Amino acid sequence: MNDTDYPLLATKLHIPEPRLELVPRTALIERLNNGISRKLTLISAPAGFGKTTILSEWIYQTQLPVAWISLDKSDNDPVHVTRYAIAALQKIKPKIGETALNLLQLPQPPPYDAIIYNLVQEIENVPQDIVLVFDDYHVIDTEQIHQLVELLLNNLPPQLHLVLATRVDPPLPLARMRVRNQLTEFRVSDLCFTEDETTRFFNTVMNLNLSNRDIAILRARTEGWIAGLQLAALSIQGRSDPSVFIRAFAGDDRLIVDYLVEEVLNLQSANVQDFLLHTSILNRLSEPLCDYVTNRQGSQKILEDLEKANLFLVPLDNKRNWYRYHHLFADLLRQRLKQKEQDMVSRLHIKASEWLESNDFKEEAIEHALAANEFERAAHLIEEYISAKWYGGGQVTLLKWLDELPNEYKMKKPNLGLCHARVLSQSGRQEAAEKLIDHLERTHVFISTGNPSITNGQNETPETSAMIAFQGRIAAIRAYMATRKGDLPSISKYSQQALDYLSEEDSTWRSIIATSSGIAYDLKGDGRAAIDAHLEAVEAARKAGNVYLYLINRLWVTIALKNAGRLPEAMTICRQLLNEINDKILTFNVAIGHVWGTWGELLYELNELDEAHRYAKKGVELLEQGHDVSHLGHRYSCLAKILCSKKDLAGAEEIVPKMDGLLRTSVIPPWVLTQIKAVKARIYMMKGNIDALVKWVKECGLKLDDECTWKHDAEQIMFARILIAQSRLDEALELLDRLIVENERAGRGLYQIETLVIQALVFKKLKKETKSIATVKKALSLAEPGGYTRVFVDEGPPMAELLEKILDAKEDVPRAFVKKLLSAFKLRRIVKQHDGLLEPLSERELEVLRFIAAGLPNKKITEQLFISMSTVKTHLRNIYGKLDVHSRTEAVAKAKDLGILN
Amino acid sequence: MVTPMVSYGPADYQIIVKGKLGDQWSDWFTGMTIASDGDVTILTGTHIDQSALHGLLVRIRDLGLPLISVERIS
Repeated sequence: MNDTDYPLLATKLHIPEPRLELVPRTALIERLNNGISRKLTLISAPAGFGKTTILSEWIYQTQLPVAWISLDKSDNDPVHVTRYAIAALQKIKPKIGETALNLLQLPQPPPYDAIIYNLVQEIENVPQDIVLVFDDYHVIDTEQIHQLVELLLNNLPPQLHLVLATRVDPPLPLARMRVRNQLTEFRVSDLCFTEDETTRFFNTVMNLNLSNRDIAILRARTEGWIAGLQLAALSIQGRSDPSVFIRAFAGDDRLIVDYLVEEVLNLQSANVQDFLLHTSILNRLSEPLCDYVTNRQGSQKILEDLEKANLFLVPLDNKRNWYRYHHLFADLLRQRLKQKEQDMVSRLHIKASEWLESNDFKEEAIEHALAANEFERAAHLIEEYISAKWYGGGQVTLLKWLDELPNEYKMKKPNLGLCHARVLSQSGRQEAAEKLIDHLERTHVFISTGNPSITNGQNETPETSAMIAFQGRIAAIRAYMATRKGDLPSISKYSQQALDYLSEEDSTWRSIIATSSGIAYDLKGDGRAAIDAHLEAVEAARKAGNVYLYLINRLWVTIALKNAGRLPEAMTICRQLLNEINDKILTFNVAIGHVWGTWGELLYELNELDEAHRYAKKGVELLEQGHDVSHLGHRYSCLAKILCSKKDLAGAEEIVPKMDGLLRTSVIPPWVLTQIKAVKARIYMMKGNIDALVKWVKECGLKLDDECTWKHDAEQIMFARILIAQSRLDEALELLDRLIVENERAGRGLYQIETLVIQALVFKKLKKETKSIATVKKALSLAEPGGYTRVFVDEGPPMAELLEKILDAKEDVPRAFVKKLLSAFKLRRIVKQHDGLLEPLSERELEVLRFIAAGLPNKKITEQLFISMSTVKTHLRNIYGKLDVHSRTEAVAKAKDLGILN
Repeated sequence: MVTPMVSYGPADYQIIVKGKLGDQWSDWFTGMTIASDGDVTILTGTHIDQSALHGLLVRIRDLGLPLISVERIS
C-alpha cells in the first residue's frame, strides 16, 4: 500500500495519544488488561463517554502491539476496511497479509471470505499477541462488513484480540459470546465518571477548585456524561465566580450540549468562532486546507491553540499535520453553521473540494462536491476517478456516489451511466440497472448503418467510431446483466453484438464479454464455440492485464478442452498455470486449489491415478477454504471418481456426505449437479448394489426417451451403464446411439469416446464382433491424439481382450497407442502382497517364460503349447505384471535374478 | 390487496427524548416540530417512512440524546 493511493492512510492508523492530564481510571484499565484473554472487547456507549480516551490510555500502558483503525462514514466498503486492517497489522508485522492485499486489487469483487481465511492463517504464524482496534465502529452500516467481522471472530487466531469502540451495539453474536465468556464489555454505566472521578477532574485536572456542592450539581445535571463535564469545565475556566455559572446551568433546561457548546463558543474570539464554524464541514483539518477554505493564513496557530485548550480538536498524527474535530462537536458546529450562515455551507464545500482535488485527495473531493450539490463538478471528478481505476475496489462507495448523482449528468457523461449500470447490476439491483441502460440507449443517437463491419474502420470518423464503441459497451453491460439473470439467449446475443462493435483495443471490455459468452456456450453445450470464446477471453484478458479474468478463463478453457477431446492443449495451459504457482505469480489459495484440482482431472485421463489423486486431494483441501460451492462440488465429484478408479470404495463413500452437504446448503449449477449424481451411481455400481441403482434412476427421473441434454449428460451415461448391468442391452444400445450423436454435435469429445467405448463392449457381449471392432476403432481414433487412457482402462478385462483382438487382427489402428493402453491394463493386474512380492508365476506362465528365454517368437509358442495367440499374449501380460517388467528381455533377466529360471 | 406501503410507507411519528431542544434544531431533524414538555422534548413529524425514521434515530443517537419513546401516531 502506498501513500499516493491512500494519502490519509497514516491518519487512519494513528493511535491517538493519551492526554497529558487525565483522571486515572485504574479499574477500567485493569479490566481492559484482563480482557485480552477473551476474543472481543466491546466498548459501547454514546458519544462523549471517553471511549477513545480510555483506549488510548490503556494502549499507552500496555506492552502489547496494537493495530488501530479510526473508521469514518466513507469507510463503509469492505475493500476499504480490509485494506486498512491489513495496513494496520503491517505496522506490527511487515508483509503480513500481502496475499490478501493482492486479492483486493483484483478487478472483480473479491471473495472476502477467502481473504479473511488467508489473513487468519498468516496471523496464526505470528509468535506474539496482537490487538486490533476499530474505533467508531458505529459508522459501519454495511451488512457485508459485519459479516466479515463475524467471520473473523469465528475464526479468530488465539494471538489476535479484537476491540470495537462504538456508539451502538454492532449486529454481531454478542449474546452467544457473553455466554461463552468470549466477550468483555464496557457500557455507559461503566464509563460514566464516578463521584470521585468527577471531583478529580474538576479540581486536580482542570484546577478549578470547585466546592463539593458545585461538583454534585454538575454531576447531577450531566449525569456523569464526560463530554458534558468537559464542556462545563471549559465554560467555567477563567470565570471569577464559577458558582454563578453552575447555578445558571443547573437551572437551564436546554439540551446540555446545546447550552454548553454555545457557552464555550461565546468565550472564543470572533476570529476563532468563524474558524470553528467554517472548518466544521471538513472531516480532516490541516493548515493549507483550512487556509484555503477560510481564506486566511496561519491556521496552524489556531489549530495548535485549540488543541492545547482541549477544545475537541484531535491530532491525527505525530507531526501535527492533520487534525479532526471530536465528532459530537463537529456535528454541533455544523448545525450552528447551517443556522447562522446557510449560504456559506455550499461555498465552503466547494472550496474544500477544490483544494482536495488539487492535492490528490480524489475521493474526498468528490464527497464535498456532492455535499455542495455541485453535480457538474462531482460528475467530472467521478469520471476521472473511474478511468483511473476502472475496476478499482470501493464499489460500494462508487455506487453511493452514482446514486446521488442526478440522471442528467449520467446522460451527459455516458461513461458514468455505463459504470452506474454495471455496479447496480453487480449489487443485485437489476431493475434499476435496466432502466438506466434503456435510458442511456434512448438518449444517444446511433448511426443507422448498424453493421460495423461495413465501415470496417475505413470510412469512420472519430465520432462514429466512438459511437460504435459506445454501442458495444452498452451491449457488454447488457450481456453482463444477462449473466446475472442466467438468461442464456440474451448473453449470447449481446455478447456477439458487443464483440462486433467493440474495437480491438478495448481489451478489458472484450475479455469480459468473451468470458460471459464462453460460459453461455458452455452451458448451452456448444463445446467448440465455448472454447473459442474462452480462448479469446484469455487473450484479451492478458492484453488488458486483467489478472482475474486471465486466470478464470484459462481454467474454464482447460476443462472445456479436456472435455472436447483436446487433452494436450489443456495440459499446456494447465502447466503454464502450475508454473505461475511455482514462480509465485499466482498466490491466491483458492485459485491454486482450482489449478491443482484441474491438473488432477487431466492426469486422471492419462491414467496417472496416484498423482491425480494427490492433486485432486490438495485441490479440494484448498477449495474447502473458499466459498465457491460450484467448483468445490465439481472437485468433490472428480476426487470421488478417482477413488473409484483406484478401487478405494471407502474413500469414495467418505466424500458422499460432503457433496450432499453442498447440495443441501447451496444452489449448484446443473453441470456440477449431474456429475455429483453420476459419481454416486458409480459408487453403487462398484458395490454391485442393483437396488440402489434402480432407485437412483428413479430419483434422477431418467427415462429412456429423454432428450439428450448437457444438463444431465453424466447421469445419462451412467443410465446406459445401468441398463447394461440389468442386461437390457437393446435399450442401452439405443440410448448410446443417441448419446453418441449428441456428443458429437456438441463437440464433447471425451463423452463421445466414453459412449463409444461402452457401446463397443455391448456389441461384444452381443457377439457382434464387426460392429464392436468398428466402434472401438472410432473411439481409438478420437482418443489417440490426446492420449485419453483412463476411459478405456476403466472398462476392465473385456476392453483389454477387445484391444488385443484388434492388434492381432492387424486392424488399421494406432498400434503404439493400443499397446500403451494394454500395458496400462497390465498394471491393474498386479497383485501385491504385504511385503511387495509379486504373485508366483503359474505353471503355464513358467512354460511360456522358458520358451521366451529360449528365444522363441510368439507364433512358435502357440504351436508348441497348442494355444491361441491371444492366450499367449495374456500369459505374457501376466508375466510382465508379476515380474514388474515391460519386455521379454527384462522378463528373462529378472526371472533369472529371482532364481525362477536357471 | 394490502399495499406494502401500509407497513413500510410514510406515517406520522412522535419521538420523545430527554433534554430540552430549542426550535432551531428543527432543521437538524428535517422538519419535525419540536415541543418541550418539562425536561423532555417531543419531536413530531409527518410523512416519515421507515428509512427516514431510522435516519432520525441515528441523529438522535449522535447528539447523545437519551431516547425515551418512539410512537407511530397515524
